[in-house]
Amino acid sequence: MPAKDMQPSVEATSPATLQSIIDWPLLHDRFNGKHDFVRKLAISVLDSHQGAPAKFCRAAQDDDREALQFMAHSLKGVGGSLGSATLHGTAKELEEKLIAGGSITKEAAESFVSVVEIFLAELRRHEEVG
Amino acid sequence: MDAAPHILIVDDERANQLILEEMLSDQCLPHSVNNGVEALQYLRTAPRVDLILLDVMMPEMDGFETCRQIKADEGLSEIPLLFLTGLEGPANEELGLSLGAEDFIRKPFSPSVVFARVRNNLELASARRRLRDRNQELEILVSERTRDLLNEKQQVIAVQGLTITALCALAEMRDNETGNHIRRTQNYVQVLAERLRNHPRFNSELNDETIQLLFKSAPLHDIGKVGIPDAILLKPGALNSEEWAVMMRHAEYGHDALAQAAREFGQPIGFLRYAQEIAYCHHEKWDGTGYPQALVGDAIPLSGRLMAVADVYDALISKRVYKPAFPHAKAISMIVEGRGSHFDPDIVDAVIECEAQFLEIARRYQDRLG
Repeated sequence: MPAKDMQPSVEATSPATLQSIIDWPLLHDRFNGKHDFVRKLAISVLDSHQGAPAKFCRAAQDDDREALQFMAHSLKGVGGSLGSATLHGTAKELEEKLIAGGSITKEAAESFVSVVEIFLAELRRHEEVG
Repeated sequence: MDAAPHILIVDDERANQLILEEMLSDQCLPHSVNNGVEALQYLRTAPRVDLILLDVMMPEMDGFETCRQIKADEGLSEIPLLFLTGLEGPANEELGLSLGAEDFIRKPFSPSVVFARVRNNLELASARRRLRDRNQELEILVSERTRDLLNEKQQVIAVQGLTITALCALAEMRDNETGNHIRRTQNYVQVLAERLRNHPRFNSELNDETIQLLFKSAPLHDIGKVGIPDAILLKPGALNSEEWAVMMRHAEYGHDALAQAAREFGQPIGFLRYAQEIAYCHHEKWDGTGYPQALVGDAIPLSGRLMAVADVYDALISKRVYKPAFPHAKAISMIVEGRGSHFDPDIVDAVIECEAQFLEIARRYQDRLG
């Protein structure tokens, strides 16, 4: 069933949630403390996925399951690569549901978009802090 | 060629490209493209790619189709290909490996695990290349050695032929019998051997190789006559009993000379074995009244029994100082008379079956008149 009337809502995210969504120490450790590289990675993900929440909302409204599955899969990978267990887990759950042919409720779509927005906001914050 | 391996990263996620490039760039030369179409274009134009890291879910062309096309391309199929994907479930892994991928790594991946698998697959590919190169070298070596051996074998065969020709020429110079006698008898022996090769009594001994050896050694049957004094060998009239006793020794002389040659060579030589048998036994008779050993029946080597029939038939149809040349029919009749006494009965039967061929051989190699 199409999840209608969805809007990205990053303003609603609290700072505490932002800081917990990416395990920065793990990420720095994974890349041997190369801060510049981690920053480059964060910028790259921001560039590639800036429009992801809006795109996801559109696909949900259009009930474009193929696009939804592709985006869920892609964001699952990003979450895994950037040490975000929350994004990885939420995206994985969504992808599995779509593969199994299950319907995505408006609430589930909004919840996922919210996680993506928090994730992107945390990347932005990290970039600003340096 | 630079030593660092060239790695092609195929992934539509720039972050994944960056991570892999960062991870590999210390020891490899990574190059990233965004999907299967770009990967195939790059692979077909890049001078070198040593390993491919391939995502599955990508726009334009997915990883499975990309893998299928790479593995179907003879020029690319040997490049190790590792899937690197977030797809879950064993079915995807099974599909990836069944398409020819060397490995299947799941995302999120541990950089050290990916690096280890990349290194292992590069080493494996390198070992496979070395093995293939070594196999090619060995194939060339084997082919060269085989050619050398064939050349050597041909030389040995040629030397055998020359030796037989020289020995026969010596024997002919001292005998009234002609060179055509040698050619006729060796052909009779061959025809008889071919006729009998499927006979239950002879099929274990007669085959292509032994028939060829019989053909080559038959001309040496009277080589021992070289040791018989001219006064006896070239005597125009009939021999007395003492002279005949000396003449009979040619079988022994021939055998001994060939046996000594074989001994000095130090290893068995097929044609010398047959030549010895033929020289020694072609005057033996089936009923044991022949010479020099008075062997009976199957105790006479097959080669000697074949030669006996061929030699007598040729003597019968040839003119001698002590007799005229008999017609073929009479010669055959006399051979048949000797069935079971002078000759092996089955060989006589073969002569009858091969009469036309005997006549043709006699015609082709007939002696000049006068």
